[in-house]
Amino acid sequence: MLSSKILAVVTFSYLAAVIFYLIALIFKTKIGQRIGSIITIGTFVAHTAAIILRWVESHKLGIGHAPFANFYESLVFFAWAIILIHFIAEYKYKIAHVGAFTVPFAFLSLTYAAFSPGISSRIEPLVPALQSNWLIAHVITCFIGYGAFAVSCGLSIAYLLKRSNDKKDLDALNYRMIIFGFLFLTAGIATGSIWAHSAWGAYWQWDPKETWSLITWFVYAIILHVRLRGWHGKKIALLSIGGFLSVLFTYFGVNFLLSGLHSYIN
Amino acid sequence: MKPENSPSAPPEKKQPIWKALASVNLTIFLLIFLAVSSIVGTLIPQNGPPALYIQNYGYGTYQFLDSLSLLDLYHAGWFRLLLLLLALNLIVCTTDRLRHVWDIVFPKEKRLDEKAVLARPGTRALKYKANPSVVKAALLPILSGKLGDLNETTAGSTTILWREKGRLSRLGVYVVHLSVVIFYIAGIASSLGGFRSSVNLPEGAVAEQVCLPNTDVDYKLGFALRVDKFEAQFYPTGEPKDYRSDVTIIEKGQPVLSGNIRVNHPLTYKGITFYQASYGRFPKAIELNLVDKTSGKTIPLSVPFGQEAILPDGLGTLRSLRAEPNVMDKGPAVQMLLTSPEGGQTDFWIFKNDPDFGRISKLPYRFIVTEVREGFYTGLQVAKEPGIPFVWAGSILMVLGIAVTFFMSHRKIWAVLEKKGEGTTVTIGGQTNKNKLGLEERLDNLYLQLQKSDIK
Repeated sequence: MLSSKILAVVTFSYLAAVIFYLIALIFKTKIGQRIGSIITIGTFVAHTAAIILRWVESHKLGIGHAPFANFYESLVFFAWAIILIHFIAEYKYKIAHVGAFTVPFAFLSLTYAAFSPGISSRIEPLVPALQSNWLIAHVITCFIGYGAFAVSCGLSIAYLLKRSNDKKDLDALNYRMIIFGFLFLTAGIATGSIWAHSAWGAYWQWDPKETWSLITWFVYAIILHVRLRGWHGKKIALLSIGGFLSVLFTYFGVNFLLSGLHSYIN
Repeated sequence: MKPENSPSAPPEKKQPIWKALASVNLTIFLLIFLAVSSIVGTLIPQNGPPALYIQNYGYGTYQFLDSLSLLDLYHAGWFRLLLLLLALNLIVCTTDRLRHVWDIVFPKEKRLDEKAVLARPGTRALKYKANPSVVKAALLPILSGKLGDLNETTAGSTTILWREKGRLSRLGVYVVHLSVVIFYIAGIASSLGGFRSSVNLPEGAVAEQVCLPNTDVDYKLGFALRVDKFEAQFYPTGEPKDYRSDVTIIEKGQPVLSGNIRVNHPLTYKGITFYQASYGRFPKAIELNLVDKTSGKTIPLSVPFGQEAILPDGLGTLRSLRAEPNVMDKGPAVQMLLTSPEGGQTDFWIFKNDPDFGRISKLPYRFIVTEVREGFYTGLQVAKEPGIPFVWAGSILMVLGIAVTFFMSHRKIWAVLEKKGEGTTVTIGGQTNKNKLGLEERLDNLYLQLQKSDIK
């Protein structure tokens, strides 16, 4: 499959971008930052093309469906969402060196997809449970949310590492990323719940995946409320990293450690 | 530029309980408690058989966990109490603050706190040679823009031009809180007025009632559902492609609706919804060849399950009892019941691969199993969820509410015009209830625009 080959190149291109971002960060060179940005943009274009191509390829196989059908495809889309949100941080809020903290997450997600022996990159047909228009809405909302939380985690690490007193912008953006992620996580849980009702006849069954998405929602709801009590900076950064661990458990831990209705993902 | 903080409650005397229920600290405490309990619920398997827990944890631990309702945690009284407290917290917090916010959102007249503005007008100042009225006329087209109508307030010789946007956004957070309460209503409606059950129906079978789980009570549907056909389709790779039950709804003996039920495509009739949940095979009939021991003549005989087949020559009747894939390591076998004309009954096994093993010698035939005909049964989930419109309403309101709460702000932007000698000083400033960065950016843009303009 051509799309898989493109994605292999994409994976290493993101690594190259990370290296340049790190060079820029450590040696304070503008040129490193520039090269890192250019590689990231170019790689993102190829990444997007590969996802679309995979969709086309599935149609050619006669089992056409959006490329959100298995674990491999979800990891590829997770990486895509992280880079998409990264662009907001880099270009709209003009946070320098943010790429050194966000792009690694996309690289790791793609590396895991490519090299984990248990993950098949084969285009698989859609099982009846996934044959629904809700699939696209549910996957996109969830992963945009996860992507925003990954970027927020990256910004939090940057905040904790940065030795400067002028970190207000980083904190403000971190908070906005959490809000953004929270909005999409909420939409993701809502679409999932309505979909569950039409697929399984129950909109909420306390299945481990459902419960962990709610736990993650609680964690970020707590962050938004402690912010009201005046918490900011380091405390919010630490909480955001904790929130992302909850995201990771919702995404990976539930699949591997707990069994439930979402287990067909593997 | 002092941001307006979240409006606090008016200074009235309040009961301590009311104050506690209205506090954000309680919200944070309850959210943490709910999160931690939910984690516990995913680590201990829920609603399992007692034997499972005793085997894994020991009897003492099982009793301990059971006494804390940790084995059906999400339906435990204390968990529901936490949810109830969170609802109370939301409602009290909302009523506590809403009255004050309401006055800001729907003021009797548009107003600006001139004293506050004049005390800290802002840092972006411009000086003009012309007098205030000339400058004002020149500023008007630049200032009146997207943000809203331009207002004018005068305080002595000072004129303040200001505009305001997003008052309604202050209500967003209460919409989010309301949506949580709507989810609670959904849950209550579904548990009081709804039910969930499942039923396995062979092709041709009719269901008029379903058994409610954990009870002996049958729920009468008020109509009948007949399964005409079940079909499972597979991809060439072996993965399932489609599960489909063709069904007919029958009311007062008359078919009123024909349709199919597929995964993700349930069928609803009179508020009751049927979902494709599972399927299986069951033996439908056993096809036999009766071989006459003397002449060798072969007579085919089909013996359906649940009905009697009549043996030739008035030798009695035959009934199918069981069909097993492997009996005594001799492969597939069927168990039959023979009723003689006198009424005596004998049951016996026929092995498909060894027809002469254990045969009945009284009869003049050898029995040979040619086929066990199988039929499908379909597993349907039957449910009534009156909460679902509330789930929709709650979801939409929550997403919109969060978007409004965090991405829209209540802003005021002003230009203070002061007469200085013959000329005029203009100071740009503003205030917002959130997203200070966004406001600063907006003010910077406006300042730049004014610097570039050709007002003298």
